[in-house]
Amino acid sequence: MTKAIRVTIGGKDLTLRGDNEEKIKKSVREVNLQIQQLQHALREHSTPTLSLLAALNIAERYHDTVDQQGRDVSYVADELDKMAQYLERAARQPLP
Amino acid sequence: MQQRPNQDQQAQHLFQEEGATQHRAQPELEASVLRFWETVRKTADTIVTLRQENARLQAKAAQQADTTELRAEIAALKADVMMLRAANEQLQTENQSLTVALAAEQQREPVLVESPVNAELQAEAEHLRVALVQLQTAAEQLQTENQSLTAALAAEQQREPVLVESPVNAELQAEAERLRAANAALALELDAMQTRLTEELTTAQTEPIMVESPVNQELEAEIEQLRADLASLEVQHAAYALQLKEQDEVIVDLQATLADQQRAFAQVESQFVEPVDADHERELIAIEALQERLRELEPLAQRHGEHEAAIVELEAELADVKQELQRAMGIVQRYREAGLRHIEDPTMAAQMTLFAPAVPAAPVTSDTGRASLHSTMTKEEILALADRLDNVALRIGGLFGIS
Repeated sequence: MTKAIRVTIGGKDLTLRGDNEEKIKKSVREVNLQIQQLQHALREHSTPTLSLLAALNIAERYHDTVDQQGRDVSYVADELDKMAQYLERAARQPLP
Repeated sequence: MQQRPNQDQQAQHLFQEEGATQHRAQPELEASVLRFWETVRKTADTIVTLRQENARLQAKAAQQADTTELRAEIAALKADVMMLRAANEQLQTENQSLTVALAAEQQREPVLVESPVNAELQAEAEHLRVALVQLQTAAEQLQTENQSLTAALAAEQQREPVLVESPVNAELQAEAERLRAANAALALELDAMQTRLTEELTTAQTEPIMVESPVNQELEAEIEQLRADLASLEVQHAAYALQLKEQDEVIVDLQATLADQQRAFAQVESQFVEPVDADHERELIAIEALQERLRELEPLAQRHGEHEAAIVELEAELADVKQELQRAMGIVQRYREAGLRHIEDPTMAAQMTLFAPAVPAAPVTSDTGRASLHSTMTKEEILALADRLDNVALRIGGLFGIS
């Protein structure tokens, strides 16, 4: 059920619509946290620039997460193959 | 995007931790995989253990050793039960004789009926008879059970040898020995009681009993003693029946254990026989495919042999031609060195001219020489030699560009 959620991102009030209010609020907190960290490090830049940098940082994190997920999946798949081979050997090898 | 270099630096700084783990899986995932590896190793160990157990059970089933041992133990236990029940039968027979003697005594002593003391004695005797009848009924019941067990044991004993090594069997045998000893004591006690009763009956038959006589008192005391003995016998009989029941329960437990082992064996066998059958089926299919491939390759192998023979023939011919060429090259070299235009084989000296009109003075042109040649070679051999020389000449001409 879509509902309207009022939030403040980078000092700007917005009304968002979504099914998962908790998820939206967590995302807003993350964006605000990024902007605040950039404001402390880059005081001379404007809010739109900081917003762009925050978006870039979040996108980079997203790509890192996707890459990590790929590595995790590959790692788990390899390990599962090894386990299957190990069990296969245990089931087939000649008994001492 | 002019801010991008700064943003890069900032981003790298902000997400340094993520960058450090770029080439590995997440540590918690690795830890979970390691834990799962432990489970897999334990599972593999269990599989190997189950396979070993299966092999052991199969070997055991092949010899039917497990069934034999259990049945032998049951047979030994039932043999002990048979012996105990035979002893019980003997006791029952003695009880019957005692009962008959008491009945006869009661019929022979009408004098005692009028006496109140005699009435008491008769009541006591009646009580003893009832107790003996109860004992006899219990003995008959035991005998019936003995007979059914004996029939079952006879079949078991015919099939299985008795194993005495089992600890359970040893324990049961010890118990059976103890029961036999108790039965023997019981039999002795019954014998003594029978003897005493017989003596009392004899005395009662031979002497008139006075109401107040000391004999009556003795009889009363004796009857009291007999009643106590009977109570003791009843207690022993109850203990004996309880022990028999315990032995039956042990036999039932052993049979249940045998059934459990047979079920476990069937289950393990069903787990491993099916994969083995599937592997065997796959191997048969692979063998059949290989045999089909072998049948396809057999004609090729035959053709390969034919080709090898042809190659050998060609190599022999090539060696022959090389030899002739070498000899011809020797001739050519020799004539070149001599500055002559004609090419001639030294073995056929002055008998052929290949590139110039024949020299009239050559020995082959004389009838004597031709006759000599015909005397050493047939016409066909000469023609074949001429053909070969022509071929050699053509090859040499081609080689040196001579026309």
